[in-house]
Amino acid sequence: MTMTISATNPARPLGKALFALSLSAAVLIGGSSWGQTKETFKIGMLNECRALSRTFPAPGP
Amino acid sequence: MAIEDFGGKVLDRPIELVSADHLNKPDIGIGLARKWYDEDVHAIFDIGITSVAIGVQNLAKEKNKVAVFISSSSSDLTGKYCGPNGIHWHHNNFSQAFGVVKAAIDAGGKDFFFMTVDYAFGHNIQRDTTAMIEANGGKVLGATPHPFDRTDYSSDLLKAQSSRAKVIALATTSVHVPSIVKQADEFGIRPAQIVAPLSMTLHDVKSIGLQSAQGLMETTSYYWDQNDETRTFAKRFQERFKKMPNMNHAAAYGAVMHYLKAVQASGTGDGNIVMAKMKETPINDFMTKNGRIRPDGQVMRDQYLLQVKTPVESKSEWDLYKVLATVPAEVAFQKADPAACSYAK
Repeated sequence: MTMTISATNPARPLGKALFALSLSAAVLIGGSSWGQTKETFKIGMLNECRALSRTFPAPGP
Repeated sequence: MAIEDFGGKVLDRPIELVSADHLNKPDIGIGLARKWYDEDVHAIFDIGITSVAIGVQNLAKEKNKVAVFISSSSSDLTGKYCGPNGIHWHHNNFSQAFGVVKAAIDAGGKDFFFMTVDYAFGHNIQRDTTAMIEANGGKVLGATPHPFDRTDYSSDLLKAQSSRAKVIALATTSVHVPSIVKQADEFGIRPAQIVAPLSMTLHDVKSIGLQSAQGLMETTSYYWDQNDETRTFAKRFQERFKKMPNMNHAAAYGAVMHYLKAVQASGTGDGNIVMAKMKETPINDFMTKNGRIRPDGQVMRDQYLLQVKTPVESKSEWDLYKVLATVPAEVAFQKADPAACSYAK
């Protein structure tokens, strides 16, 4: 899950407060899909990499 | 390439490809596959050596995922080690050996001697090829096993030479074939004896070089220079990877594309549901026409008997083969065996 918080500057007092509010809000809504990177659909490629990428010379003498 | 060509998304989710090298070690390969399936990887492709493939076959069933075997060759993956969620995509050790053995017998080679890599794949291909030889009136004079990591084949080649068998059948992988062929020439084995690799790829021929490789036979599911469609794919692949694709590269593209289409059509990544969709959908792409997946998981598709060109015949860097014949699917593969695989009907 990735969240992005912007438009606040934590270095200034107002910014600090807004940052904290934003962070709280983000934590509160963390279970929803808002602000999250979309879940991926994963597939795997498992092999001896040399077998698919090998060209020449061949391994070994 | 397949994921990109599919549009990068399936079921409205970005497709993420994870990859790993199992180093040809079953414990590493099976451990990786278990971890991936537990981390919501829906399907695993290629898989490679038989000892890893057998383990992944069992895992796919246990976890309701999909396994698509591409460079794995053992016919046992659709026999005694078959599974409901495994597909053997484009060839097996029977189809790879069939054209080569038939051509050797037709050329007068009735006596065979095996050089066999000493693990499940080697024993499997020797067993299937022995049956094929005997069914075609040939005879097996002997065999010598070698470990997977062998690089010096002197003792094996001397045994094969002294057997006086007309055909030395290499029941070994494409990792070993280039070295064996080159070393066979150092022993002056040819032309008195025929060297017949039972598993070889385009890049092995490239590695051996035409001077040594000329005349070798190979049965394959794809050669880049067969027709406009195969050439179009090859050109795209070469522009991207700076080499021509072999049958495994091409098959990986086709397998991933067929899988993603089935996921999209099914509306789910559930292994059993996607498998049913894949099996009911004919396979048609640049290398496979009207292919179908048998209930035991074997993809039925034509194969091609190739012969390596001579240096004079070759007109360009990747112009390596002549296509001698098409081997129809029903001839290239054994019949499904319900006695060995309960899913075969």
